[in-house]
Amino acid sequence: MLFEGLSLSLQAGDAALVTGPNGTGKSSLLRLIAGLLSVESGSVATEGRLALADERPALDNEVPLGEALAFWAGIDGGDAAKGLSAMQLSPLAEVPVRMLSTGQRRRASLARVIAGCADIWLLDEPANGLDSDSQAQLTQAIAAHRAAGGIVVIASHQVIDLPGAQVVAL
Amino acid sequence: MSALAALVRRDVVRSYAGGGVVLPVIFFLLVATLYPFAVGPDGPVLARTGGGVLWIAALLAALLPIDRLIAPDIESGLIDQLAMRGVSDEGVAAAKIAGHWLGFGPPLMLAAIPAAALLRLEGDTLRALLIGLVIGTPGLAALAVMVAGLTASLRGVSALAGLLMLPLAVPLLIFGAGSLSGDASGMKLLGATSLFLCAISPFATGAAIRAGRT
Repeated sequence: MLFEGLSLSLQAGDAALVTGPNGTGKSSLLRLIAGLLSVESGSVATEGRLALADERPALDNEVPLGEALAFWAGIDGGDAAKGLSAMQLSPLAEVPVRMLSTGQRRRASLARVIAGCADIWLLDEPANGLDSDSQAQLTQAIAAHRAAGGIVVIASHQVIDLPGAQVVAL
Repeated sequence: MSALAALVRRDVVRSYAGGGVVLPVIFFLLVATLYPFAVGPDGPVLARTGGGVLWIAALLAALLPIDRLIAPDIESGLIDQLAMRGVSDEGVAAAKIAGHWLGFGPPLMLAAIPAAALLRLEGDTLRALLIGLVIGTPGLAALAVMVAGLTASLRGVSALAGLLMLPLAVPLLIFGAGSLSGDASGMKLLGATSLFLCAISPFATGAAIRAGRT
């Protein structure tokens, strides 16, 4: 059993920070919330659209970044340019995804989330591979999302600036 | 645009723009070019055996991109993202079959015309070959996607995928080659086999994708 007695309730504008050492189930908790894994007992209920950013950017390696983000924006009714701009990736819009560095791919994954219209952001180790400027952009994007009534759940073993967040220690 | 339509469109564009369609077609034409060198230029022999050879070439051409059908989209997280948007794994598999077939089926049928000329297939035999390919290639695409789904979580699967797919493709091969005589019953059996594969493949592939999700 991975979790026992775990309870978390979030309203519009709330945030949660899931912390703990490696292997304690932070990513699995996000995947449970996302509906990608099922619970053996208990329940997970969400209202609104979810977006998950983890170490896999879900972007086609063979096409330019802008086109790869447009694929998801087309499905979600979002705006790829908004995501590119928020993570300062606009200059890389024509660069194939496979050419991006690890940090740029992480930012691209976050850009996909920002470009969409999801109500609940699930961010798995979002600060991994980000320099301080990129972390500041991420913090801004999270604050703007919460201010607009969005919910953010972050799983991280790093310290993340997340004012007023519920902390779930695993 | 719906998620599944976007996925089909992306796969088809990737096949044509990314050159994925070229390799199966070249392979298919190479087989048709080399076969007369192996058995000699005797027209009746080529006409009698060439259709079967083209069916084997079509089967192997469908197998060529198998490691790019499902595994990269699982590794990149794309299929998980679609699942989060309410798209079933079976739906993804069906879209993959459609995308794969559109990426190799029509070009293969076009390539079958010069290939048939090289093998002295004419008239009714050529017509039966083309109709057979129209009916049978969706089954080949379904089979390729199913095997790609079953082996997606394994590394270095090309050889294993071939071992898995070739025996499963034997009924298609038998009925496909059998339909070259223009016999209606052979064509019906080919259609039934192809339809059966198209029907079960999304469910088998979807189950395989779910089983590999951790």
